[in-house]
Amino acid sequence: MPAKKDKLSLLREYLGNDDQQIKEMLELFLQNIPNDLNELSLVCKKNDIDSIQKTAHRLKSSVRFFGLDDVATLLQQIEISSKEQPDFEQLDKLTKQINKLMEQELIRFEKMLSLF
Amino acid sequence: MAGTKRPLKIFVVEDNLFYGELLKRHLSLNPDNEVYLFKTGKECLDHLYQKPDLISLDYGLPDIPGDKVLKKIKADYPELPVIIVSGQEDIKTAVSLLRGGAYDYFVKDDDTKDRLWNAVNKIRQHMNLRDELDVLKDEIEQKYAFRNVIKGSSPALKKVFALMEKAIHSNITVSITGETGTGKELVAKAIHYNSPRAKNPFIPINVSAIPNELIESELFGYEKGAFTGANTRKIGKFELAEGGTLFLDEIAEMDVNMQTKLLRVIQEKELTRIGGHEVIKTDVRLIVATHCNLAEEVKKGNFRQDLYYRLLGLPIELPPLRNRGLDIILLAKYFAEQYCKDNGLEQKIFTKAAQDKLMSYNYPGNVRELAAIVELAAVMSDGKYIDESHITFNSSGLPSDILSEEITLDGYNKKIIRYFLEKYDGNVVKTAEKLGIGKSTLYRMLKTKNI
Repeated sequence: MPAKKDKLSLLREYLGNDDQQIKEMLELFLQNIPNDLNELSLVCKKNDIDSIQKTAHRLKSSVRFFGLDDVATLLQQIEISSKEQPDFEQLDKLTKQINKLMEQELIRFEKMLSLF
Repeated sequence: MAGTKRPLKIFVVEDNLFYGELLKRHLSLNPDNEVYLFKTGKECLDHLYQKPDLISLDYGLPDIPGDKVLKKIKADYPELPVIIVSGQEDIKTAVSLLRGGAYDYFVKDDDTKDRLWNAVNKIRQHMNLRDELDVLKDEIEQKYAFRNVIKGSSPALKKVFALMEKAIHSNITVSITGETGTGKELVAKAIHYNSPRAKNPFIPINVSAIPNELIESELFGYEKGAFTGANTRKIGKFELAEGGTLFLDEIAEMDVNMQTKLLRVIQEKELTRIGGHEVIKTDVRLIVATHCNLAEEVKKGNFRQDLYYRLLGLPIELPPLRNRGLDIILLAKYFAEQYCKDNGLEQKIFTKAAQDKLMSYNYPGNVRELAAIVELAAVMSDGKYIDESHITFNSSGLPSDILSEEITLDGYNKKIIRYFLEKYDGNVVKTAEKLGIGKSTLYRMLKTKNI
């Protein structure tokens, strides 16, 4: 059983408390999230507003399932800002903040995965 | 099929690989769901030939906007339920998508899982009911495949088959005549269930079984408050048979006033419910039946000539069983086989003497009477064989060889009265009318002659 059970509660609800399925979805998350974060940084550098909004939205859907509410809130801010009058400096700051938070969280989730 | 439900084929269209996989796995928790994941609108559209039962569609797809994907799906598969799952709560978009044919609109939030699960279950129930309905319709069609309904190979019956074929492949009104028990309603059903109208209702109504004052409301319906006791609106048989067939049995018994109203509806192809103003268009095929000679009834002034010609259409005369030769044996074997099968009995064989006895009778009650005779014989026979001793004819039937029995005039009277009483379900008024005597005379005879 993973140590931080509460972070996976929503996932458990979706997957009928099936540990094998939870493990597989955690693996999928850990496999995809670095690419998504890279993509967010890249589109921010390019000031590609449409892609920033779409990537932030996609990331937000995923992180919510792992109880990463702080990260989800920051992604929401990016999404809203990019819809209105985008402040690219601010967006870059938010992206960096997300990357930093996720760096720590990903280590935690790797550990969690090893406990399955 | 009713016992073996097919899986519900669900397409999940979601560009977020993680979320899509999660929805797929969640819906797959029910082993009766068969879930496929597609990342783009194009992938989904390319696989529609696989005929999904339901699509969960992400509104914000990278290649084609959700509303366009929905439009394309609905153009080819208007009945296919599509649930839109959107990242944004946008009432205007939701309304427009629902108007465009979406089954529902969900925002991605903590409730999405439950809402989707419930919607899927609801669609499954609907699909199962639809499947069961299709199976039942097929069973009915099979049951009324007309060679299964009317058994026999006599020349008289072959003529009937040829006419039924013509009736099946046209929309013409059919008038069926024949003695009681010859299977007029079965022929009407067989024509309907083999015709292009088979998927729509077959509505039978026995005119002689409904009092004159009620027949109009039965046929055309009424509005709430049309008369005392009309507490709710009633839909008439004509409307119930929309797109299908209305079978008017014993049409000769219809009151002359009602005949005028029926003629108007047939001519105009529209009706108005009693107490209503709305003119309702009708598309109903008519099949009528009678044991009387309608042309004779026209001559006597009991039946409107113009209605007679409207209803005559394709006349099919069902031969009495006594004119169907060896069909009697063929039918007897069929009834015995069915009866033994239904009651878990060993199959029975008719001896030569039993067959001769069956062929010697005139069957005033026709096929219905033969079925009853055979069932009784199957019960009476203990072994494998049905012998002549097991076959009993119903003496209350009006025998055509009535004079073969040398009995008194009083005896003949009793026999005739019993026959008509049984024919009209004990209705003394009708029996008196048919025998051309007063009802009090009949009551007196019943009392004094101990009938």
